[in-house]
Amino acid sequence: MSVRTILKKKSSIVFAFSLVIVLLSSCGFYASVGEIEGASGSNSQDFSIIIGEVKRIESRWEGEVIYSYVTIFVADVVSGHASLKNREVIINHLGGGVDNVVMWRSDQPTFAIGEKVKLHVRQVDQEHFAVVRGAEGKISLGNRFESLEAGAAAGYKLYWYHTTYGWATATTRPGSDWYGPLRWRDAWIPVGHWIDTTGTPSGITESAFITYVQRCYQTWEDDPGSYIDYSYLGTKTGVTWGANDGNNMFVWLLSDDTWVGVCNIWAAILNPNDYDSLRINDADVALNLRYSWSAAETCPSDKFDVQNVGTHEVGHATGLADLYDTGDSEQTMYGYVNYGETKKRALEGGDIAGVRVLYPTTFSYSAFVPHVHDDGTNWIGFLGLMNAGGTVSSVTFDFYDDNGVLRGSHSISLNSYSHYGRFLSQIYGGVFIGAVKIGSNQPFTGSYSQRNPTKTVMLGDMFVSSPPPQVSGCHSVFVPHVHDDGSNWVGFLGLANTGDTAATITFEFYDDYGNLKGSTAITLNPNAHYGRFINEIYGGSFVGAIKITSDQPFSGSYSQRNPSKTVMLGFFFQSYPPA
Amino acid sequence: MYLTVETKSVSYSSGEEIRVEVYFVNGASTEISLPSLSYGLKISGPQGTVLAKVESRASLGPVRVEPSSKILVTSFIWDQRDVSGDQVPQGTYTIHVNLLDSNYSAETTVRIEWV
Repeated sequence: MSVRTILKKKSSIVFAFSLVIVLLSSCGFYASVGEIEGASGSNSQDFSIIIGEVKRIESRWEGEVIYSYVTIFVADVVSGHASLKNREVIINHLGGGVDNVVMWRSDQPTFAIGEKVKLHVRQVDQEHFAVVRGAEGKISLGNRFESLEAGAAAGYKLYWYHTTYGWATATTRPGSDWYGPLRWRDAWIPVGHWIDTTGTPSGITESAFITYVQRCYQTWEDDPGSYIDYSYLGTKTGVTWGANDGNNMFVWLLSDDTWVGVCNIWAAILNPNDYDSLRINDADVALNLRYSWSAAETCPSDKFDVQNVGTHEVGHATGLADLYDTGDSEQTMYGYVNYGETKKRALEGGDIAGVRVLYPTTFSYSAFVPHVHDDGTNWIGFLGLMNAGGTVSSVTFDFYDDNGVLRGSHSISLNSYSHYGRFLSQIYGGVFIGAVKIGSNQPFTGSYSQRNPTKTVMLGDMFVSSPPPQVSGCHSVFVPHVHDDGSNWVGFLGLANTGDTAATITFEFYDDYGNLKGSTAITLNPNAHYGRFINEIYGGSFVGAIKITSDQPFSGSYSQRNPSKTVMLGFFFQSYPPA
Repeated sequence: MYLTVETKSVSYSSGEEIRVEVYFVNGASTEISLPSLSYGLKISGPQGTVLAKVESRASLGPVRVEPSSKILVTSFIWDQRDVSGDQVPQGTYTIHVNLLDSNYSAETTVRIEWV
């Protein structure tokens, strides 16, 4: 007996007891399959809410109709009969497939083996349960038993493919036997793309169209947290849009008014035994000439912006699906666009998180700042950073909220040994409370300090990338941010030689651009202490970073206060490698 | 309300173009709104999936379907080639379409025979 089910998650309650039987025979008969609305519901109040995984599905004829028996392992009981936990229950519902006959009722739930589900169930006899409220009583969950609906709030969805059920969009894999997520194969990156300027509307020059389309692709490349990369190959004409020909086109099309922009993606399963082998073969984008368009820095309120819609469509070509939750309305991948809208030109947190899931950059060096608070009113946060590596670094600051959702990202380049110091609101682009993850391709040190606006209270600490920076052949520390301007802030450095012999210790002072601005050296006996104001060591006011090296291990502290001594921060550090 | 996949015939000669039309049918007496007409397509035969694609569409807002009417979701010509561009062997092939942003799906089958 072969078993088939048809995946369908929701239906509204309109008609009573609608039924459709679909025959898919090999003798030539064919029919279209559609969704039928049906009644559902239960009068029973004695129900439980369970969370579990579909283990088996068996369907069979019972009289004139097909019934399915779905075995579910109950991982948790949200409410109701706690005794159901850690046992298997059998859900009985109308519909299913036997041989080449498929039957389903739209008011009945459908299941897939391996699918994680949350169900409202009631016991109908000694052996069987039914889903209360029919299809509405079932919610598909992600692999971690989290609601796929709730997952959408994370701000991105990906494409998934099932050999029986077809396509779905979800943040996480809908079930263990779904292929995906859909993405470009690494060997094809950078992905080449063409532009066909044929049909460019009057009022837009071809060069402007090309410029703004290139920006659409560039935007997805710009995040250092992802390695997706596109390559503009030039203009090309005479290629059929939507063809699976390997030409990734960006074109104009004239169509009906049901869409403004569209992306067509051909996909291939590279290895049927590998569910992570769903790859893009070809991705074409089109803008609809049915509407008026603009390709300029600003967009009139009566036109669609090429870069705005194009960036959204290239997001599809990259592997991200549409979002329709209003909570995602600020994301580039939100599925609705407006006249004059330009906000989709720039990626939001969900877009960035999504592209990083598909094409994650592995940072060699990273650090987490667990709690920052810059509300612009009560608390001000300041982040200092130094590239302690030998070459220019690409540094990314990722801002996460209390739920672990990426809310924003900012990237900078830092010369070797250069210093970077900004208020948190400047880095994030507004007020922020949460955690910051810092990634870089070079080792770094950093400091975070926080104070109230009146400078009467302050805290701070220093952090080091993992793995930490080191200078070959000696012990070292990079103090990422010191500030001694002689008027608003005073800095003080303390050191102790923790080695067994006298140490020669060198201080090198670097500015924001990595330029060595001054250097001095001292000798310290074992266990000897050295403490000076920064302006004494440097010989004047200084804002920047300090590299300290020694032939002996050492420990130190840096403290900073305002001249009126109403606020102060300080932290300890140890040279690396340790003693 | 339902989705429908239509072809002109149920049987085709090898190499013959197969025109496929996909409609959303609103048989109700009230208008219905769909988030989008974005869809996924798969064509599968005895050897498994031979073609798969998604088409995502940005729009001004939900797509409204008038009462007792149908709208074209997509139409295309299948040249009987698989994702690698090779002619598929004879057999029965299922053309399956589902809307990505609402829970409607439909499929039909065609037979491809050597002449």
